[in-house]
Amino acid sequence: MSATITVLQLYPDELGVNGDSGNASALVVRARLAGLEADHVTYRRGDTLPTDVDAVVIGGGPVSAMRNVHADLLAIGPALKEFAADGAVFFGFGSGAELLGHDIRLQDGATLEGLGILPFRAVRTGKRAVGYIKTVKDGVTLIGFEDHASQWKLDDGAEPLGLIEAGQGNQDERDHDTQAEPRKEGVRSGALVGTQIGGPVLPLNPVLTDELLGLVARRRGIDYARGDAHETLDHYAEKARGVILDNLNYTFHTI
Amino acid sequence: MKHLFPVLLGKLARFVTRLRGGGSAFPGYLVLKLSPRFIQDVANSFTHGIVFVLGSNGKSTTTHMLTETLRGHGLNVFTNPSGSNLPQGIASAIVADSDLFGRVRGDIGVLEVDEGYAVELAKVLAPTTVLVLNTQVDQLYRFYETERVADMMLDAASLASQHIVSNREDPYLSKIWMRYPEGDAHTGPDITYFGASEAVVAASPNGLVNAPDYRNEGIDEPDHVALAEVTESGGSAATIDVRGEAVELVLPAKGLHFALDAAAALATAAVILGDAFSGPKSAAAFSAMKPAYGRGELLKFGAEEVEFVMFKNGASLQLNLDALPEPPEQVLLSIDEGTPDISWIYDVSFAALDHVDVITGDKAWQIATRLEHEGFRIGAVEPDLNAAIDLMRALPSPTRGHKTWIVNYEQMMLARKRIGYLDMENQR
Ligand SMILES: [Zn+2]
Repeated sequence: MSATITVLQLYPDELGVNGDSGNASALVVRARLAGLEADHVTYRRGDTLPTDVDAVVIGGGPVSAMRNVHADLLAIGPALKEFAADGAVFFGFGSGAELLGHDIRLQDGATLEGLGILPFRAVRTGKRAVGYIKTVKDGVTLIGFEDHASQWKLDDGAEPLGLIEAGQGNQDERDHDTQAEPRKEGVRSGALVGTQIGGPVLPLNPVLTDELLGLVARRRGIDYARGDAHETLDHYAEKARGVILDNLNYTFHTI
Repeated sequence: MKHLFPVLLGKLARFVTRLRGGGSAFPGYLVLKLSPRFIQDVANSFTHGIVFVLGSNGKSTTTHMLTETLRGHGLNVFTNPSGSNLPQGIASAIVADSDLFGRVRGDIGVLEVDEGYAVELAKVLAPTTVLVLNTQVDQLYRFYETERVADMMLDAASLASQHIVSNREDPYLSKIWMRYPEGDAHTGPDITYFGASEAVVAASPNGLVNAPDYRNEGIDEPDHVALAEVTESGGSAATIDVRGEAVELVLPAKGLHFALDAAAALATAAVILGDAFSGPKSAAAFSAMKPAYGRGELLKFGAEEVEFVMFKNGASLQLNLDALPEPPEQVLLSIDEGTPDISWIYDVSFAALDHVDVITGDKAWQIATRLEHEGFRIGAVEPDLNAAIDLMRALPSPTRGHKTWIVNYEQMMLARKRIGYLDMENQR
């Protein structure tokens, strides 16, 4: 069975300043290398939302940009929730992920309502986390660059995307205090993913990209398999990961 | 008298660091520690006051352009070495130029200042004029949000005692007028704009790559008249309309962004010089400028030549790529840890290149990963710069002139040294 995989990137202008198109691109390019048809579609304020969507990608941007897309996002919220209920993949980074959560408490005390698709809430703290990051969970190692000042509080029972081996991640104070649990990064609920790992993360972590494409394919009733065509891409990504792992402790000046 | 001892020590420290090779912020650090009012006193000694040059991109180039333009009008200008834009670097520059009593001879100081320290320094140095160039998505690892950088520059601009010069084409900086709702005549410094004509901006494949201002989206921006406006731009030639007079310039490097920097310099010079401003004198000053260090410079490389294209962020990489007249025949692309987060390479359009011969630097594999997603033709990935240079050397002689090396600042410094250029970037 053949079908075109549609990767929908939301608000690429406002919420796309961290190379976020790279995350959409990784999904599309790897699908194509597996012989599947795939399209990278963008949605801007006021556009008509496509009806048949396999994956939704949303990225990072400043608070003013979040405020600007907010009304439009709430308006398309019901349609997006329907995609999520239908098993579409959601991949949110930074501010975009936070808008997919319950809400965001900003530093000026205001609260931005989110869509409640991802099971967490965000609190902007002003406490910066900058540098390389490494997480491990269920045998999957994710690496990238984090740069945020947000605390992510997961709902009771909600799973993180990874457990921190280097970096700051969700800055969850409860975990910090008790030291009992390992520190967490991001949030994961089936096909729904939120993270603060930049880089962007999907091109640098083909294992996660492939897992998400597997979910996309299964839902379509088709097969996705990594093959020889992915060789060069994966070689470059593996080498890039190696350099980042070697430089994990490189410190960055924040001012 | 009071600065004699610190300045002596600073000069001694400068002498020692020079012997060890290279410039250093250490002498400035020492003097600031021993005599914190030192730079403040020096600042007050300039008859035409001090100009701050701020911006995400083009500070060094514009500072150089403005300095040379003012010198071309007969002014004695004190300036800081390119890139020495932190407080200690500026103090070091003053130590270098001062006599033993901490006095610097000069009519005016033109200083490039790091955005992060602009307000702090403005409180100390009390600039008469502040020139704000542009706000680009830059160094997010330092500033987190671009908006914050814009505010740092707008705040510093508001501390100018006489003139603000701002970029009409920059969505954040053009809104400096909103801080003076009652008009500026009696409430603060006057505001002057520089810019580029609509046609010139429209001809640039990716525009000017300034950060969009989302917080003031509903604001009705008035039509600002630009005192200096780029009306033509191609390669290193530009025509800039200054108060109705067309000034034709040869720029020290190719590209619309350099033309805009030139407009910024001319607008500022015109504001400072008033009726004494002369188009021909300005054009003469520009034609005497050496190619900017690492920005379009042609350097000897064996029997061949290398053109250096230096960038510091995604925006400047984009603008430099867009300024290439045709896809370069032989290309080296290099980024190292001097640019920590390069997520933005996915936001840059590499359409101006048709292949890359060698990718190098700590970030080489990350760049290769990005370009491979676009199916780019990549010759070799070699993170070690020396080995990469050897690969470039081993390529056959280019048929169309020269090899092109697109590098971040740190890699440019290393690459220049490696091919035999040992001078530092502090000659003005
Ligand atoms: Zn540093």
